[in-house]
Amino acid sequence: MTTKPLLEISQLQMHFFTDKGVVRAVDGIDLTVNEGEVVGLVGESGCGKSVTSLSIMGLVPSPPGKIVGGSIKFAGRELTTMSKKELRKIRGNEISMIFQEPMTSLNPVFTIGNQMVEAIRLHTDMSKKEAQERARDMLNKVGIARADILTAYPHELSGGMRQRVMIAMAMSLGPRLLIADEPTTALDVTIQAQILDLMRTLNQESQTAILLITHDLGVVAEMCDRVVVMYAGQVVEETDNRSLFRNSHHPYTQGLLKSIPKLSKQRSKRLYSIKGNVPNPRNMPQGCRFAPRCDFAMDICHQKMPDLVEVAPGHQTRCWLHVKGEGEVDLGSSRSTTQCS
Amino acid sequence: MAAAEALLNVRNLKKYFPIRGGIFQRKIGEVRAVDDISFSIRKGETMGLVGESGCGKSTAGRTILRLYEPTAGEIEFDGVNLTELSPEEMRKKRRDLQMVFQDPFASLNPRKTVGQIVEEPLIVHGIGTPKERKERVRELLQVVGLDTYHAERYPHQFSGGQRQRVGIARALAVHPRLIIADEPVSALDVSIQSQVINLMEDLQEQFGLTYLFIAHDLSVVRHISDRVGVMYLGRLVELADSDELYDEPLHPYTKALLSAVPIPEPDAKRERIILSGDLPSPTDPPAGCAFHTRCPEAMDICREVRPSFQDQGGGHFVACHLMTK
Repeated sequence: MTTKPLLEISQLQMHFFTDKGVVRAVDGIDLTVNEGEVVGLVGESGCGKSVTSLSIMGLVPSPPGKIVGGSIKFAGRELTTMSKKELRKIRGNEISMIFQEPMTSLNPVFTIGNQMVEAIRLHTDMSKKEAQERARDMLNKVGIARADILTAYPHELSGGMRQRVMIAMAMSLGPRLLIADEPTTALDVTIQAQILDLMRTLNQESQTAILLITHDLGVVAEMCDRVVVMYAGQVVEETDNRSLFRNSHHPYTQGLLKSIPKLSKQRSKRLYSIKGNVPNPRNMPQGCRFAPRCDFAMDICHQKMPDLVEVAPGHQTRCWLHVKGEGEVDLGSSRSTTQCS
Repeated sequence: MAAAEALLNVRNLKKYFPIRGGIFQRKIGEVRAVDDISFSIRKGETMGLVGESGCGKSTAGRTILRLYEPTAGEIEFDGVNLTELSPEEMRKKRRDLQMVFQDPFASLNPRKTVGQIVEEPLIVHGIGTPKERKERVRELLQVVGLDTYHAERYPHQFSGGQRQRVGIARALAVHPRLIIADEPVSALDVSIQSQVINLMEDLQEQFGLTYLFIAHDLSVVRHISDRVGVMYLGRLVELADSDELYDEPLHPYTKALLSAVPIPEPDAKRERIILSGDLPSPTDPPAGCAFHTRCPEAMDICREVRPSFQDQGGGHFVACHLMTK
């Protein structure tokens, strides 16, 4: 695995300016994806994970959305200041994206072949025949061997097949980064297993880096090298896959891990649950945004926003409990780490 | 199969939906959404019903309440055969059987206040005076962890988790004995999901409720259920005590389904059985065992004869020819 950064987001702020006020959907996040790496972006609905991915692609409608600060660098080039034309060259060619609901991302009135050939020819100077050949190759690669697939319409395919077509389309130009926004959420578990398996193979064979956006920690555990946890528009923890599950530091991450029922465990008494609800994005709490729901909140948490600090090499967290000399107590690893079995 | 303390007995329940076509809208086929299932639920227990989309689990839940008229079979609730009741008698009977729906956004009327929504079943069943009903609504909101002032608000002012609490309060209003919960937590985020699961467990203890819990999330079902039934293409393929089903599944489909669940544990051993292909269409289910087209262990007999749903001992039911070999 190389550690050359492919995508570098620093201090990105994407705000929405609405009649009712400013929504700070993404508020100063840092995120790096190295070449060939699978990075998970985790969080609950409304935490800003999808807005982050749409910002990378330049797909956030403006107005109301506006990048008010920060930068997104892809292979050394700045995406936020790029013209629409230049960005269009990168999209599809070097970065491509797949979405949660494959039915809404495929055009219902064109055949699969039509749509794939269009995408390929838009970015290359292939002839129609060559493009069809390429489309068929890619479809074979994702496990669709049906001879008539190129002339089929999206409604003739099942959800899992459609998602395979989306992946084939996204991979047909050999992108260096694939952004997958909840790619398996709409699928059944047995189909999900097929798709995850396929994505893993593609990552290993063609060294495509993947930014995997999901709310399912099980998918994260199976797929990712590194994980970034978001809460209310900010990164609250970033670490490698294993330490996320073994040694998470932020109370929000710990809470999430404890609230999932375990498949392997016998029926336990009660599930842990994080009290309260996600804060209103128009009215964020002062100080740490998780403080109102946190079991360990101290005075300082309600007053000042903690910074993202490094707690171990490659492991960062945004929590006063882990800022030495700041919080009243430094709980270190004794009380605040959970063992997740 | 009917245990002495069974509250609900479902016998050979079928629900076929006609497909109509042509200029005279004649019946040209049928969707076998629920195709001969039998099970019973004991008083005070939670029975889970799992399966993938389109397997008929939701249809089964609705058919039990006669929201869909069953095509064949018997539904016996506390000694009364629900299929023989007149529509009016059935309406009255629904005091005892209530339902909680998946989508808390679609199942609450946006033009009514939460107070009116929770009060409605009381009006429908003619319970109490207006003053008593208002009192009962306040009490119900507190029971599900909301505040009394929430009665004045509209559904859009609530988050998904709070709406699901409203849906539960509405179901509880008429003191039901059985609650059929159709994917009650699948639209919710993880941290909110655990709040609602805990609430449902507390209410069960407090009011002695019996649940039929329909969901596709196998981990959630294991957590909440005493017994679990697995459905595939309109049929029950396996039914057993929760721990037994998850620790020692017998049916090849159950095994594959369980192995496909991503485990939130990076070092977990994974022996994944990846099923090839997709679910066959329920309009034209495969002959014999419905699962034989995707089964890694299919034999000749599986293509011809539908396996019977048999007790393998200790109430562990399986429909598979491998068991009778």
